[in-house]
Amino acid sequence: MTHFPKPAEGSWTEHYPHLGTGAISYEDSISPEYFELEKEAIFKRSWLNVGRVEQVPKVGSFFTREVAAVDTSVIIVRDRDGSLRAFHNICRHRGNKLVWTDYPSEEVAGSCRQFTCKYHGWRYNLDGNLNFVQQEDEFFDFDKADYPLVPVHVDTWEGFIFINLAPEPTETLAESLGEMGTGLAGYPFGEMTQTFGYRAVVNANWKLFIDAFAEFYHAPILHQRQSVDTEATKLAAFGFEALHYEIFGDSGHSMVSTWGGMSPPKDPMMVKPIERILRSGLFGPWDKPDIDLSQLPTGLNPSGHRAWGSDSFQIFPNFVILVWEPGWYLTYNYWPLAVDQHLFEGRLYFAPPRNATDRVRQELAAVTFKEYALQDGNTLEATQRMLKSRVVSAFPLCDQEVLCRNLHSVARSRVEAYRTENDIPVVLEGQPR
Amino acid sequence: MTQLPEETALLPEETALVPEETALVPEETALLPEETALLPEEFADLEPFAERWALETEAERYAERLTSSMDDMQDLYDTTMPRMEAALSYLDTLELEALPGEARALMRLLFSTVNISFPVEVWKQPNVPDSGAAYLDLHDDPVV
Repeated sequence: MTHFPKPAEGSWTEHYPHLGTGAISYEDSISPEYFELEKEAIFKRSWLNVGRVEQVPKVGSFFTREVAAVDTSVIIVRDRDGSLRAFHNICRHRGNKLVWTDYPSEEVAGSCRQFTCKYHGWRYNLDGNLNFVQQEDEFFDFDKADYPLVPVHVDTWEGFIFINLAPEPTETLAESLGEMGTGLAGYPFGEMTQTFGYRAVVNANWKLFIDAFAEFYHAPILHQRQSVDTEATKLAAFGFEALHYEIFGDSGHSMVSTWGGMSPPKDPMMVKPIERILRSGLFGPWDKPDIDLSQLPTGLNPSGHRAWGSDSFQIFPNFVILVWEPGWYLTYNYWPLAVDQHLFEGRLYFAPPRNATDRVRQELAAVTFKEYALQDGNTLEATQRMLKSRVVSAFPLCDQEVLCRNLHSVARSRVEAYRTENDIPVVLEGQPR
Repeated sequence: MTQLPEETALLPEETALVPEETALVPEETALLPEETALLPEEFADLEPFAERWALETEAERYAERLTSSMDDMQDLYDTTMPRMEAALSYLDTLELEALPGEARALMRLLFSTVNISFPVEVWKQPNVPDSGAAYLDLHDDPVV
């Protein structure tokens, strides 16, 4: 039974006819050869979110990001003129990693006036220019100007920092974000500076976790025990229907808009005792923060539904922004490590707490997020294990899984385009949808 | 190593306050007399839980939860939940960024109550069902 209206075509999926309605293969999540092509076709060419401007507040503030999918580490730094710069984290002398502490594989953050290589003491300005070489006169035909740090394209949108590892990106960040970006612009992301940052290595292909959070068809079942019993039974019987789905052309970006009756719930007995006492839970603190949310950007709650609860934006390839109606948001980043493994990062952003009550309410929202995410992550490992058996090769997706269909379709299209351009033999049979 | 946490968890709460353990007292209170409570005196009834559960980071609180018995967590829950509103009212009179050590310990004790609420209210076991060896570390705690 349909509780919320669907497009005239009868379903969300058929509203985007290029996606088809047939069963799909998950070979794209288990083939090592395909994964190698994804790295080249997607991760070396797309705008990738690496953080937020609050992480680099002043001149000299920097952080590093390991981008395993393209075998590099990147430094993001605020230069003297206030602009953001990004560089491959490699010394031009003999290739040592330039910025790191104790563990070469780990990320670091801090503040400095210049970057000094631990190995032979070469020093670089914040703009990447080499300014000091130990025993410079020992080198041959040497000019420091010839050895700046290797730059990486960097840009920001609404305070989110993105890098692009292509020598010349085919589109700007603004062009890449397109309609989705303009629709979300203006949300007070920058005022929500109280953050909880989570991280885990998940033994599943990166697309599987995006799939998991791009559909809520699973929620009443997988997370059934997290609600009080009577409520769980009702939720499972009702199932899940989104208020709205949007697929933004062939950009790869998409969004799902969801109802949310839990903040606060109609009947307090629907939720657990600690949620009743603290007025907080999975959907966040029930009472809004002191941030003006009266004029939401047009991209939020696109169906204008009064029961709107949250909107989840999948930003191709590996970034998600989830905005909750009560006035907070979270982000997910999925960093591929291997065909069957990725680093998952989740970060919750709240308004700074005004007092201890606000702070404890945030703690409950954060702890609840973790309980859910642990179930999701471990389930994916179970999925990955069985996909690998190749016992089944065609999987039916329902209308509430339309964004999963889109992700795999767009990723495949990018890989196929790259493969054709570079005369690489077919890796996966069949055409991208 | 795997059996140790289980055994220590079963020790009576009072033993947690024996002198040998005073190294665990937060630094700001370390200079006070040894008998000084960790929590504000209005919350002396919660004091038996403070040393074990008033932990600074989510990682520490979650680790304590995973190695605790359901009885111990039920005990913490049953004692702190009826005091939650009073504790928050008390804490809200103070500036959050400048909480004195005892007040901060009280807030951290409430964080632990939040952390063990899922095991007590829902799971009936310390870890999330079907989460196996999965983990999700809060590597970046909020400043406050």
